[in-house]
Amino acid sequence: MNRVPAGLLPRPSPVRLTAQFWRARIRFAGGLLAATPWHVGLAFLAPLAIYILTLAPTIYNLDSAELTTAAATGGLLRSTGYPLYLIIGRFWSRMPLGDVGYRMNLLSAVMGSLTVGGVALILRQIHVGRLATIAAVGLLATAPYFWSLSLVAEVYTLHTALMTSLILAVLFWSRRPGYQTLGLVGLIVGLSLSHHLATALLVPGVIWFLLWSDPRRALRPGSILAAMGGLLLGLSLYLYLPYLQAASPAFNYAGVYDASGIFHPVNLQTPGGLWWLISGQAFATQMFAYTAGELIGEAWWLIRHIWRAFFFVGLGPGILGSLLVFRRNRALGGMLLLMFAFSAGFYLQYRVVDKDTMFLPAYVIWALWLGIAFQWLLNLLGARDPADLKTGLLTALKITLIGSVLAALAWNWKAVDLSNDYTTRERGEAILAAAAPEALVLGWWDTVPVIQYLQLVEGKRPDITPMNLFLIDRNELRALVLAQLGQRPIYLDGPASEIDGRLRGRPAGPLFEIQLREPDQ
Amino acid sequence: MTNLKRAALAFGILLIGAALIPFVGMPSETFTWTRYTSAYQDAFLEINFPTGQPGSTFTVTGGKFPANSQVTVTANGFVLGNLAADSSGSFQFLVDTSSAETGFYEISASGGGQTAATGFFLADHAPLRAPDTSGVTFALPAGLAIQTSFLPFVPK
Repeated sequence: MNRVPAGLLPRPSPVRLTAQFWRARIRFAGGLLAATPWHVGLAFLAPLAIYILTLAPTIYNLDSAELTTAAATGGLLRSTGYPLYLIIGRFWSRMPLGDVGYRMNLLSAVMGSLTVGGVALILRQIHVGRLATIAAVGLLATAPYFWSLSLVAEVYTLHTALMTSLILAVLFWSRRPGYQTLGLVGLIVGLSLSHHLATALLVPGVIWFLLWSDPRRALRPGSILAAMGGLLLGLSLYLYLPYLQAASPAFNYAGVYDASGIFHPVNLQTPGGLWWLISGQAFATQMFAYTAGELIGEAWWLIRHIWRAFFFVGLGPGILGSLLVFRRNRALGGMLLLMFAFSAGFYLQYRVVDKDTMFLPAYVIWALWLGIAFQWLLNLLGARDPADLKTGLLTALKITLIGSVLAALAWNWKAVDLSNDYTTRERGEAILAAAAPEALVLGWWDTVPVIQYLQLVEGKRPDITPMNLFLIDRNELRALVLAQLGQRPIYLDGPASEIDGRLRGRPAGPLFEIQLREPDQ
Repeated sequence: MTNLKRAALAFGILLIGAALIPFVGMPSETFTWTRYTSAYQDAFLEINFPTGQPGSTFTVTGGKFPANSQVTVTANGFVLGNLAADSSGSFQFLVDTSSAETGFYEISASGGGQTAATGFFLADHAPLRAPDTSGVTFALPAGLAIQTSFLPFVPK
């Protein structure tokens, strides 16, 4: 048959080419989906359903309000910047579902579910069976802190989703060691670092895995170049922060206020300014802040924390799993041990009040150990003959594993359910209702970010000036208040006498209006 | 290994965590943002004047207590009464010193696991403080004052 020369064939239109491009990708994704085992799909969908049912219905307080407002308005966060979160949030906050606060809470739920699905996928890669996987990821999904942090706008579940992607990428490299796959590992590390610097705590484990698995390939100049290239590409997202600052965003937590109430942003367009934000120097005093004796107490606290997280059946199997995987596969076992040790160890010595929310990466590793141990226990009692006593014992073990997940679900549901929690919105709206026109409102994370959300995202009370006390020095604050008292109403969420002994507070809604104390005669 | 030994090992490993129940306790706390508010500001009490003449009425303002908690107010350890914090954890009450004698009084409020204190001196030479607001009023009984005395300072 004579073929028509290619040059004479009519060229497909751009529209047709685009359609072909997306059809091919949809077919590929569909193929991947069809090839995904049902229990991995369940590991994603079941937690997602549970998280949606218990999700906070609107804006939530503290860090959530700050993250939501910054992402939705193109604003800047405090250290360490979280550019990847801001980029994802900028688009995610626009979806037509609920209010902006709800949408950003939903982002955490999706990331939490992706983490659980990712753990299931990792367990499948290391040949852990369906039942053991379901039990392990079920306990992870229902762990109180993991569950509760999947219900509000927060950075942690995106971090754990990236963490599971990193482990999957590393395992993928071990099957196909090459420049591209190592470049993918580098890219995921870079992206993860551009979200949360705690990724640095995972890197020693990754390096261990690469060097133990195939040091020759890992240390090739081309491999190192590919990894570094991927890393730099991922880290380039930090350039989003100076780009944001160039637009002088209304919401900016990278700077300080002076005694005149004027905000001085840190110049993120200089290397020094950008490094100040990224390196978290504002929190340096909280690091390594325990004595040796106190650290022993913190270690016991961590054991109790893990115990509570995995509903008491997770403690023994978790330890067993860590030993089993290290014995069988030094590369993987060492990687997981190092990731756990660095992640848990760092936050153990980090003296902040909400550190109990920072152990999610350690939970992910513990869940992997659980899956490995559960499979070992099931194999220990494995039986084929229904008449064998072991069959009855195996059934009892299976029932115990699944029963534990269901018990954890039932026990923790009430404690973590935020589906009717409007307290943050109510607090913010009560403050706006009580504040006089042109007021200056001073407060901490539980007061100011939600006011800024209501102002900047929902357009309420633009006349009020909210100021987070985290961003102003005590002496500057005192000078500001004394200068502005009498000129505008000033409200505070704490005792006015702490600013200056001549001041007192008069209750005004959720806050206190600052007044000058009458002088003694 | 016999079947029973295997089963004992398997269930032993699985349920070893149960041994810690007396030391740890099952999780029971709720996970809301109000758990962390004490990080920024502990519960506090603020009084409008540090001194006054016997017969004065002082206004005490409390804040950062657990929302809607029942607060017990004491003066030098003597229970004056109870009141409820509002949904923001704030409250206000007055202390009537018509029956009280001169001396120092520590006013303490406890509720929802939080405690805060403030204090005032009643002295004959101090101004008479009139009430500057209205609300829950606790009368300070006689016999509670802590008497303070100051040693003379003799320069060498």
